[in-house]
Amino acid sequence: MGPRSIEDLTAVLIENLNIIPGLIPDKYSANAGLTFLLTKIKEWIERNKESRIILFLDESDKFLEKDSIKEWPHVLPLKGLMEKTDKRFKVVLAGLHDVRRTIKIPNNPLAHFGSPICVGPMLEKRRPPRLSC
Amino acid sequence: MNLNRRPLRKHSILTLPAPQLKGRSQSPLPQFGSVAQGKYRLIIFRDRITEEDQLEIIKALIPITNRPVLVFNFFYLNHKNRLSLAKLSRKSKTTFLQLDEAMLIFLTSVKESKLPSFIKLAASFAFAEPYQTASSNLPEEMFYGRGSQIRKLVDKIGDFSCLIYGGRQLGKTVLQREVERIFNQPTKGMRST
Repeated sequence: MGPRSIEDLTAVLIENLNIIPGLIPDKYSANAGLTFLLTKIKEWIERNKESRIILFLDESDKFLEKDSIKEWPHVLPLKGLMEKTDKRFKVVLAGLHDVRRTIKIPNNPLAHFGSPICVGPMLEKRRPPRLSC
Repeated sequence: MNLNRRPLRKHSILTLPAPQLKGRSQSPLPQFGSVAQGKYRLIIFRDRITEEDQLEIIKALIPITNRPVLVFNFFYLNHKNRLSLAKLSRKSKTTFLQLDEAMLIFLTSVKESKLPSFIKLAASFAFAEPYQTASSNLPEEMFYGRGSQIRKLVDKIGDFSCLIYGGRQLGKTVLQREVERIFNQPTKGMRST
């Protein structure tokens, strides 16, 4: 199977978010798009006042690259829902250094995604020098 | 009377269901903690046999069970016996934890839960390889550090973050799975996927 189109994101998210009771209705259109899904997430967040969802989109380099070409049809609505829910719904994007390069694209929506976390080797911190009398 | 009719069995093999242990505080070895999921294979030796024979019986069982092996010796192991069995298990890379009468008496005096205490005590005399480099499915006992990054990923305000980047095989996916493990509490309405 070759790489999936970014248009498949909604179907993948519905499949994964189906584990949350009451979020995805039993019956929905096969053509349900991202707007439908985000509406359902917003409704669930509003119904469950103490609840939060963190959605991890791992290996998202190609996704970001393709989404940026189309002027962010996926990232912008996801960011919009984060803002509307005060980040009780939170999306975390992870990838190689391309993710960081994407932040440098002018007018990109990732500027509002907080300070990027660089995951590097875990090196031992240098001990402070010993005091001597 | 035919005395050679049937050899007397000197060991028994049982399945031991136990409470599921979670975290390093309960088991420093993932094989006996989160990976075991509360299911162990138990070999009971009623009578003393040589350490070599004991190891052969244990080695024969390990390939046919997918559960971690605990060995209960219903006799006293002195320091020399214990080190000898530990040395043999390390040499043959055979993973099991052993209990003997002396250890059992000590454990009766321990106020904490017995199984975690036994695992910590017996791990000193066992061979185990808890490290892994290939998979991103890291047992929770083996996840160390990254505290500030975890906090940033969970936080909604302040110094929060929604972006992770870095080279291959440096722990990006493992970090996300750890946040997922900590954060995912369906009964409290906390979900991560």
